[in-house]
Amino acid sequence: MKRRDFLHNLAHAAAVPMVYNSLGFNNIGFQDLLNNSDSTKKLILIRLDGGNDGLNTLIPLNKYSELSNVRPHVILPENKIIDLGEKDLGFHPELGRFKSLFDEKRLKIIQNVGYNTPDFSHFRSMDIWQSASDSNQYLTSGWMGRYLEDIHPLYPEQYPTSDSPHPLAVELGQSSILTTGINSVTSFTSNQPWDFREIMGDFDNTYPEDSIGKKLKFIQIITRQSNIYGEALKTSYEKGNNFDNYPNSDLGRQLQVASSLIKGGLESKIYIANLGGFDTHDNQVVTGDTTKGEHANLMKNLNNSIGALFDDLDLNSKSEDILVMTFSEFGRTIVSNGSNGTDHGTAAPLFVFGNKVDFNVLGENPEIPRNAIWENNLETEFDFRQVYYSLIKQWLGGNEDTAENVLFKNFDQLPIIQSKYIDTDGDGVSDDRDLCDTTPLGAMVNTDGCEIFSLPADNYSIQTNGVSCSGKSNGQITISIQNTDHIYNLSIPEIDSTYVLDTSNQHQLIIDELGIETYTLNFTVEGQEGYLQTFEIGITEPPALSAKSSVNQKSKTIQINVKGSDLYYTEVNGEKRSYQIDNFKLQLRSGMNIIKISTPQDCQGVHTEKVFISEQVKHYPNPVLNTLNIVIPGEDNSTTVKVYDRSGNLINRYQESISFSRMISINTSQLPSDIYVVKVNGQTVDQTFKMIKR
Amino acid sequence: MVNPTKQTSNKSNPIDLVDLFYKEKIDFKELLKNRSNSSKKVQEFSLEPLDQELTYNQKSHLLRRSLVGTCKRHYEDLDELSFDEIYDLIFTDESLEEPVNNYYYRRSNQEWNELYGRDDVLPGETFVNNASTERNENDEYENGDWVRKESIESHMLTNIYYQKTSIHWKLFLFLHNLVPTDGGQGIDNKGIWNYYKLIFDSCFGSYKDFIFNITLNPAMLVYLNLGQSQKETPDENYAREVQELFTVGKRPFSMFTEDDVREAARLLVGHRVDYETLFKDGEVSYQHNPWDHDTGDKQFSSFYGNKKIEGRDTEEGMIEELNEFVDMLFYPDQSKLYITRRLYQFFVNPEISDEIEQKVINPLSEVFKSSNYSLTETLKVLLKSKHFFDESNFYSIIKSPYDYVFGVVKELNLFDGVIRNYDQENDGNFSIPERLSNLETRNLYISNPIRWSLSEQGMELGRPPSVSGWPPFYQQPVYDLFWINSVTLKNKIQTVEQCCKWGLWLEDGYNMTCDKIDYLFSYENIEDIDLLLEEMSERLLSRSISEMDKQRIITHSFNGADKIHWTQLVDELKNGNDDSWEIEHIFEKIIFQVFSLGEYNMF
Repeated sequence: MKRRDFLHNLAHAAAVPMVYNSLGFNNIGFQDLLNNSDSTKKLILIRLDGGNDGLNTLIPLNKYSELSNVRPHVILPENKIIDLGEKDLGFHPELGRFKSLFDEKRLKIIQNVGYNTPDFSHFRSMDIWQSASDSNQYLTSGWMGRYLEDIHPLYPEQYPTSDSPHPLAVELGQSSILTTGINSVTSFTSNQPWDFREIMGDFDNTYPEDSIGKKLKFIQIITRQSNIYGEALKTSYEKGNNFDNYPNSDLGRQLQVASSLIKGGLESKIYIANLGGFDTHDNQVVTGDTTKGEHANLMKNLNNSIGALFDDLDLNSKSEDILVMTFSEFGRTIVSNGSNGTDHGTAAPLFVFGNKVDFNVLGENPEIPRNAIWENNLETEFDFRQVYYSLIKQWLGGNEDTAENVLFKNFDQLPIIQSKYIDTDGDGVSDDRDLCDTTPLGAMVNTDGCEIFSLPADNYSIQTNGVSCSGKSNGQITISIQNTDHIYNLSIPEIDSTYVLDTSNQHQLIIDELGIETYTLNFTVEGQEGYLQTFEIGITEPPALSAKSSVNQKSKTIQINVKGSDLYYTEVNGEKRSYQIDNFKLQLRSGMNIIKISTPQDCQGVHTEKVFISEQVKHYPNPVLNTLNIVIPGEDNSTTVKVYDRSGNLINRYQESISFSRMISINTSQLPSDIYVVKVNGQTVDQTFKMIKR
Repeated sequence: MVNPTKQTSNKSNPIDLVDLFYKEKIDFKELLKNRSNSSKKVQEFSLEPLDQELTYNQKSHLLRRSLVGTCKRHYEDLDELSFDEIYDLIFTDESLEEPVNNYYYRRSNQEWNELYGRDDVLPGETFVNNASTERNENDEYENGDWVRKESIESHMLTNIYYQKTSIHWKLFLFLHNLVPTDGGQGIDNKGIWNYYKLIFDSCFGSYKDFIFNITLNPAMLVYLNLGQSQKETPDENYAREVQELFTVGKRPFSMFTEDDVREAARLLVGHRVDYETLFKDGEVSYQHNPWDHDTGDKQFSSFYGNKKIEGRDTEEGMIEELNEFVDMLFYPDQSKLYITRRLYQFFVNPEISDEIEQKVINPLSEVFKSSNYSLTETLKVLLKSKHFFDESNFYSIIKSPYDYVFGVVKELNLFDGVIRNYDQENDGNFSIPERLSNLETRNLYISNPIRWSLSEQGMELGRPPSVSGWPPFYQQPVYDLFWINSVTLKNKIQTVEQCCKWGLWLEDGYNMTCDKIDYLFSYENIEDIDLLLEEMSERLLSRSISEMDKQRIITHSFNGADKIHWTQLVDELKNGNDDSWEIEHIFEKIIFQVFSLGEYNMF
């Protein structure tokens, strides 16, 4: 959404009162609209672990004869290479979809990306790439972690919040230092969001402040947090999971999950997938057919997974806002080794996919010495941090100095996004129309992209406290203003009142004794002509609590649908819980269950329900000759068995204690042949079945 | 209906702890701050032996750090022993028999027979050097006969379960983590066993000799590609890792160069798996091929004292080169320091402060060097030391899956538990098939669910996430916290639940639970529930159980009944009441909850 549309939408959005809740998911508020222009832009990173052989991924055809000479074991047959049609380059035979995405103007290729003084250790080089350090600099945080912390300076203390209810980044495969920030880890990992289950053992202990106490506290926190974010991801995944035509590979599944989360409304901006196995020291290719082998399988997997992702996003009209980038810790040696493989190398091509990329090939084809030996490695043309720097500036957005903060210095930008789509300051007005392209993050702008006096929407915290019951006038509006640099005037025409909020009342105000009505709150700021912020706040009668339920005897659960509040208290057999959703499942036990549902408002009433869950008895034989055996699972110690004839008369009554085998036997030899009805009752059993007596 | 949870075998990929760890939102600054605070608390840095009669808490600390899960019998082994005798016992090596054909019931299935062919090995006889099932029906070489692989893995787990009061198996895990292979992928069961056996046999020897031996180990030759290296274009994989991960350590701490990696690759090329030995009966072995060896001289950097190793062109010469190379790897001080640090991190504390580096690691590394790189001699000094018994080290690490799972099954004496079949019990014709009652074959079935639990908690033998081993043992600054995430927590709790409730899944219909009454009687004060919980807490938890947790557990387990009801049930049980159903039911809930406490995760 463009920023000028916000202005248009403000009046409407303002009608929604903001209620802050540090742990809940009250995710509608016009907070969200403000951040929209940024949060809709997502980045999916695909990490190729092990060092991808760039020379067999994107082949410089002008150097084909040199390549044949120095990497004879792995060189691809020239006639199988897919001609890019530009710059004398060709793709690996398995990268057909890369070629079509390039033709569709959705692929940016940057050649020879690496860094100076290359390191050949996987671990170290991957750390360099992910921490965005110099070759000889050791950092313990990742560039993405630092980026997310820069644009979310209050993370993690106050998160999740109403305007950022979801994880900042989601890792789908193996995690890494990439999203580790300076203060915290900024990502949440979930490869199977559907498999979320609440972990039992959510203790509430206070532990001593020593190191052991801290570890215990950590275990406790993890239990809670995985319950909260896990549920958010599950909800989004289930909502967005509508396309399953991905390759059945680890990467395919990761991208399927990423796409489903995005389609399902997850607001996380960064998604990280990975594909391992690129360390092709041996068997990179099959002897006799270099188009087959480990590397070909990887290329195929990558090609098909990215292809499926774009099919999926196109189908769901989501591809406009997604950028996908691959990277690997290094390329491989120019020369091949005798085990049909290649060893750790240096620079390699990097791919960026998306509808808005500046589609073309950047960089020169690499130089291949005709007599290359191991010591010869590919020259770096672009520092990988130029790519990161450009991504922040051209796509991810942030404050004016965000990119410098994250990468510690300035880098020359590379054209990655088409200039007409670049919005450096992330204000919703792209740079070519933006007269002020350094507007601070979150500032209100006019159609020229220039800041106008405004205060962020979350400047006003307005709560309707103690919503009144019908017939009472005890409604309350609580206001507190964050930015205390100004003097605010508030008028509420409905009660014909005006107020001043300034330092004398700490910019806080409680207006009480309000009846049921919609109140208009007009805020103005002294000295700022033309600034008016309006909220419409309803003090309403709370609706009566309504609840629908359906019982599942088999799984011993009751599904509850409730309406009328944001928060519900449940009590099942004395065990209390609270829910901020209106559809939830409660676990019952065998026997009588008493379920009570209420809300924080007494006058909304209490919904009470009694549900009997019976153990499922088994009986045999049927027809029965003499002894009827009944197996009663569960934990009852005794049971009552009543036998009725077909007209409903009680014939026999047995009080039986249940042994460890859980089976009781009833002697029916004295009964005449007929059909009988048997009722089995106990504390947790209430079952009836027909018995045929022979 | 009673429906025990059936376990399915684990998915193709082991879970990734680092991955799962980062899913959690963690305040790192806080974490690091606390970590640095914690190391300040160490009072005692002396490596002098404590040399006094050990208290219960000290014995307990020593056993936890020396064994893979502790239980009562280990404590009993220490009774009446003097300080030195305790260490003599703990530093006694164990023996590891070859696994035998205990899988014959698995073969009795027609389909399996067709798929895996004949099996030359008779029940009860060792199969690890038999080649009979390594070819498929087309007489082609095929990887992994999973029935035999399962048997080897079960053999290892069973041995860990029955371990003596000896540090041997813990050291085995240490070495497997430090110098891992992926359990012989691509080299079959003979290779797996060969690797495990080398690791096991090297625990009490010289680490330097071990580095020589592991270089030529067939599983390692395959795992890090040395076996496929060619002299024109030598493969650098092993050449790099043997320096970076197995001896001198990573940069910037050690400063070996890229040229050192290349020279090492040239030096090492030509050592191969002897595939002949893989396809016929007998141990799998290696060979040295002078014609495939780079016979030129190798010049190393100043980090290795500008060592020049003369190139040679005979088998003996290649071995000499390797010998000189291994000698050279131990020339820089970085090697002794790196390995000493790894020992310290594994056995005492993953975090090493500057003070510990100076006062503990440095002198200890001298012991390591002067003992010809003996892991056990070094550990003996460390585990006897006053520093080791500094109370800040007690319960300071989060249990690895091996410490956790074996802690549970050993404590509950699971291998001597009760086999259940709920369907048959209901139908009243309960019988246990021979394969599950015969002790020899039964262990195969019991160790499977244990292996799945280990796998789901992030650490399975032969499946390291990378050649660096498992991140909780080396990845600073997070270390052992990596073991804890929502997935592993869930599995830990499920494992306990299965052991004490439904039972671990053996095969369709059959489950194995612990004998709860037996376990109850392993405690002294069982009549009084409060005292019982305190006793459990003392034995199992890192700190006394909180009053709140105690009340919570009682409320949850008793379903509203009075505490006196428990006392009555125990009395009835002691007076010979056979119907222990109710007390088992309550006690099972108690076990489950005590083991679910965060305090049970520390060791």
